[in-house]
Amino acid sequence: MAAGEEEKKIRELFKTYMAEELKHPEIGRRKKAFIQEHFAPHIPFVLRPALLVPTLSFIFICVLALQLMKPVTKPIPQVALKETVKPKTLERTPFEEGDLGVQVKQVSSDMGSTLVFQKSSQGVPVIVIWVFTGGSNQ
Amino acid sequence: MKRGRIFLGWLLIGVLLFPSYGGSQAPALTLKVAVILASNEGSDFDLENDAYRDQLIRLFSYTAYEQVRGYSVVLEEGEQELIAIPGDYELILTLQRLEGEKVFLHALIQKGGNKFLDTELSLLGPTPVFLGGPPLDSGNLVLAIEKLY
Repeated sequence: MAAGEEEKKIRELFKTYMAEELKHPEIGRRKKAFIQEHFAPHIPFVLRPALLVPTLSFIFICVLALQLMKPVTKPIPQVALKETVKPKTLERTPFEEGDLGVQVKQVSSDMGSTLVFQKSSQGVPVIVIWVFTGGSNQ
Repeated sequence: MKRGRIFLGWLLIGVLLFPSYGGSQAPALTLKVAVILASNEGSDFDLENDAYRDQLIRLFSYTAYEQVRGYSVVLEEGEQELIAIPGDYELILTLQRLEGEKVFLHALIQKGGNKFLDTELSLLGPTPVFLGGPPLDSGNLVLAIEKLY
């Protein structure tokens, strides 16, 4: 019987305590502050400071690997392919007489056959007048 | 005595003010001539003008080029210049006429009275003209003629 009465008393005390706490919210705030100050909150295993750097590194590597694998698996869009592979037409402009710095009026030789040829060197047409003597090594 | 000094003073002033007096001079032109020996012996490039190097590589298939002579020729209209080049060849350049920037030139390469190359050409810009073919030793001579400004 005594135990039952004691239990009742404890319940009454607890109720009173709870009622007092509800009446005065300042007490609740102080309790919360006390717990935060003196008891560390529960941190997940992987987020503990000792494991944080390796965990972040692992995540970074995973993300990087996924990014590298993406272009291999991702199909190339047809529209983009058409645009990039589109052949370009090169327009050749014929040499105009005014472009040439040199104009040859007449060529002759007693020693062999002559040849006048023009070749573009770095965009500049260069004229060569050559005599083939037959025995030379040109 | 005093008059003589005054006359000499005026004469000196006149000479200083008009140094080129003495009749109108014909327009002159400076040509640069480089005599290059092109051969297949070795792979050396020994040229005074590096610009020729790229042009020669593009134009010919020789492996070695050596500039054996270099000349600067000043010609007036109608004037002729004879240049002795290796291998007993002679290059005779004649400035036929000048029309503004355009130069009309006669070039003759000869040896022992025989015309190796006889040509008439006009040069407009700074582009050189290459005259070639005279055999020398185991190669051929290439003459680069360029108008200087």
